[in-house]
Amino acid sequence: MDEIRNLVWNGAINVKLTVKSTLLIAGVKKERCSLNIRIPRDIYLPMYLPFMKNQVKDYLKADIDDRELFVWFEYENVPLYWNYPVGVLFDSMTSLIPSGRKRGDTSSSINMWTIELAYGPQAPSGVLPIVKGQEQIQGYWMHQWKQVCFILNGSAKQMMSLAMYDSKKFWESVIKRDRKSFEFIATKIIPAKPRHIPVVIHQSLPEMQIMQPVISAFQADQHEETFMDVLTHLLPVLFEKKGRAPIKIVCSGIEIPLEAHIYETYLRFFSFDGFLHISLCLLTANEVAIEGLEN
Amino acid sequence: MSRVLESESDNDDSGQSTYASSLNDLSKVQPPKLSREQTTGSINTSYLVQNKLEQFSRRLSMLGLASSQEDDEQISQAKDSDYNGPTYDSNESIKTTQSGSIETDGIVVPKQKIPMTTSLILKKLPKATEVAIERIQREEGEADKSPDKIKVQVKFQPIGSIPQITPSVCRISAVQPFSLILSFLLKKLKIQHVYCYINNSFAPNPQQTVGDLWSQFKVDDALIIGYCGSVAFG
Repeated sequence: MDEIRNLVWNGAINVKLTVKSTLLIAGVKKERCSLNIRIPRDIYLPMYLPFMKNQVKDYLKADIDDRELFVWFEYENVPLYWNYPVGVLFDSMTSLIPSGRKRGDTSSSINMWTIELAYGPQAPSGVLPIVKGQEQIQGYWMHQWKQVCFILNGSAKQMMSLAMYDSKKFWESVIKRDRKSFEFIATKIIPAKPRHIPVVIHQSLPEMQIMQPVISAFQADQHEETFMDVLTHLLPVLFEKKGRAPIKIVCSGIEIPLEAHIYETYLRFFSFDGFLHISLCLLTANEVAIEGLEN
Repeated sequence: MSRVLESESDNDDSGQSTYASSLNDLSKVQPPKLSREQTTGSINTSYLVQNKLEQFSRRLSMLGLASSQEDDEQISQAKDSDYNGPTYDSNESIKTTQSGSIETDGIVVPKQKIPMTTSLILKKLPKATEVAIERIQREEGEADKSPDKIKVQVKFQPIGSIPQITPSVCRISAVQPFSLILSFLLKKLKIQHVYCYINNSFAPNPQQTVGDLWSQFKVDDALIIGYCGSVAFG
């Protein structure tokens, strides 16, 4: 389990950041103003914003440190919700099934996720505007953990009663990528017998949807709840044919079997904001044929 | 007054530099090599100066109006709450009926678009999946049209000196995001900033649907929302 936690914590994505061409000073080519960064999957994108701004600001038409301007990220002109971990955004926005990605890999290739930096007088509809930098991100993150604590324990007591020193250390562990300190505090919040499990389901097709259903660790007959149980209930139409789900669950860039127990998976894969984020990816006809799932 | 301005901007700078240095620890970021042309630099400087001047003049006018550190601190929440921009700014369409139902007619739940390359997957689906998806979309379409959309009950509780709103128990469509409740309170209380907490514990993500929050945190069939004019639970 420790090994899996380590892989989840250290997972990273290669990101190529460019700036929307309309926002660049005339004459500057888009390629000139691009950044290649390796970002941990388990972090919020804007935590790199000061660094990114610093690298690109000389090429922009406006001063993006201006408080009246909002900055956000886009992937193929779709604004990204920065308040979910980077890895989750990548998995859900590209809707890639890891086995498919693997087939495209060669020893001389490198996977890059190209996203764009955009700014304007108003943040796009649905995107939380970043107005107070790191302080705002930290506050948001703390409240996410309080919500997680409430879901797991039925109250936010464990989180509220953390010593000032511990809660400061908790956030620092995320910034400094110190897994030991992070998990030392996280285990104070995560109980052995949870009331419910904090899961966020990201669905991107046929439309973008984010669901946070109530999920118990055990069903009424004491058997442990699996993803299949939850998804059959949530999306009954897709799961009509037993054993032939046209969907795969992707978490931290790998496939999770539908039969996996949710709490077991939670303990191994929970994200730095305390939730278990899973992305639902639809299988294409090609993949179904390869996996031999056809009728 | 100018001293106030200077000290504010000093603070900002120092805050940023500490952050930047801590980010260096964050992971092995390889700074890219961006060559800088002289000409670009000079154009940029003029932009910078112009913007800074504009920024200062805005700040000056703010100082003239009210003393403002608090204002500054609260701006974020205000922006959080009306982050949906024009969609919810047309506050006229959020109304409470006599039966205590928050009517949100005409307010469309904002949906994120699908990136183009991802949407291409839809064209490569096996027949069975395609049929299933069509069915889901048809069913959802019908559910949207039906007059009795699922509504959930929310109960507002004032925290501190903020007035109680009437009726304190309302019904709201389950598919709406929590940000709608923030907009509703701002309009109802005629105030600029509001901070909301579920069960006196945490501030939810404004993007989360009221229905999801209700099913997870309801107490006696109502979602209890505490509201306050300033930060109550940090």
